[in-house]
Amino acid sequence: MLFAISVLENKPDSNLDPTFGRAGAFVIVDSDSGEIIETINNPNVNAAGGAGYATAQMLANKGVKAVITGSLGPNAYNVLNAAGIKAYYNSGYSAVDQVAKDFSAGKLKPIEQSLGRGRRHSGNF
Amino acid sequence: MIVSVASGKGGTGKTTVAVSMAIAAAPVTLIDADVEEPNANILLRASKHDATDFSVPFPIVDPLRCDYCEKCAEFCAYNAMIVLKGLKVFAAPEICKSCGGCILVCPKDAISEKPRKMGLINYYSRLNVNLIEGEINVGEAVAKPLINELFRRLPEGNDVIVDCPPGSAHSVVESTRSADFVVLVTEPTPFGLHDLIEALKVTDSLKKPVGIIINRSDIGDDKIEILSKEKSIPILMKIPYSSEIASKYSQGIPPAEFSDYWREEFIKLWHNIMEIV
Ligand code: SF4
Ligand code: SF4
Repeated sequence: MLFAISVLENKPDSNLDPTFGRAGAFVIVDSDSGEIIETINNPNVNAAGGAGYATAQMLANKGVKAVITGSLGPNAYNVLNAAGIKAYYNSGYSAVDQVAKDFSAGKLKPIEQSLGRGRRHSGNF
Repeated sequence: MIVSVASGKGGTGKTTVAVSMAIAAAPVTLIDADVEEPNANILLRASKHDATDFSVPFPIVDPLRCDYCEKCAEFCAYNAMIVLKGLKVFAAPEICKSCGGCILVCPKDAISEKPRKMGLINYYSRLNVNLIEGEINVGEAVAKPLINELFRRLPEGNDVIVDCPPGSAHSVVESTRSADFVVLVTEPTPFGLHDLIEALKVTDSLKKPVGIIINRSDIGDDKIEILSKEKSIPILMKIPYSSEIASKYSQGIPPAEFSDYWREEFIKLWHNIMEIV
């Protein structure tokens, strides 16, 4: 099974990027061998909008079955869900190999839902 | 004549001014363009006599025709088309701008349009003020098409007052674009001054004639008056703090309704603006 980790830089020994849609890059790992298959730049870092959607779509079409990140917006969550991809939470800026080990050891908590967008309350009259 | 009433942020008394001016200038059409939080009718207290759905065209994909070629997703500049290969193709409602481009580029003719309801347009009437209110559904991020639609619903030949959304963002641009005159409501505080300067950037860029109304004019400093002199922008009205205005306001009654003095003042204001325009 392939899983993806959101990372700050496009290199195998990068650290976790706590954002998802606008994460700097992704590291894709094969859980069976523990090997890094690929590191990819995230083309949506500076997207005008819809970064969460586009990033989730890209990973889905790469065939990953799980993603590990620090936070997930509702858009990205919905696409991952539709594609049958599970999301897992990891805080801070941990090193990629540590995150991958923790994931394989079943230590990471799944992200069950994303927070919806709130409504503006300005009390404006 | 179209007069837009705007402010740099919420809470300056913008809606109080817009509704009071409408009552004084009646018969008139009042547009509530703050579609995320419409509240002009809290002060007009009119009953609704009509409502229509506001919908936009929205692309729907036929899974039997689609071969997941991704042409639609590549085309969409907003990243609104999501292609999950072999699984599902759909447009993201909060992001899609209804441009129809994906329909044209799909080689399989798999995409068609269906109306998607984004909100309501409500009609109210009281005291010879016809209020048209836009109300966008919670979670819809794009207020612009609804604001544009409100302007298309304007009755011919009527004078119009627009209660703009707060802030100096796109929606304010949208609701002052067709105005003949813009009234900026502010307070004599550092925040009020800052927001006024931001709002003036918008009106300057649209080259609109503007005037200032200072609300709670007796609480702060004179920086706004200095700015108005420097930029030769007229101060159209000053509304000092009054416990009567505040307490009536909390019951939803604007000054032009409960006070003859303020009704006269708002009538004068309206004539004053007509002369400037
Ligand atoms: S362009 Fe048409 S056929 Fe290609 S993925 Fe989009 S909907 Fe499917
Ligand atoms: S209608 Fe336009 S904005 Fe909406 S999904 Fe199609 S191409 Fe994108």
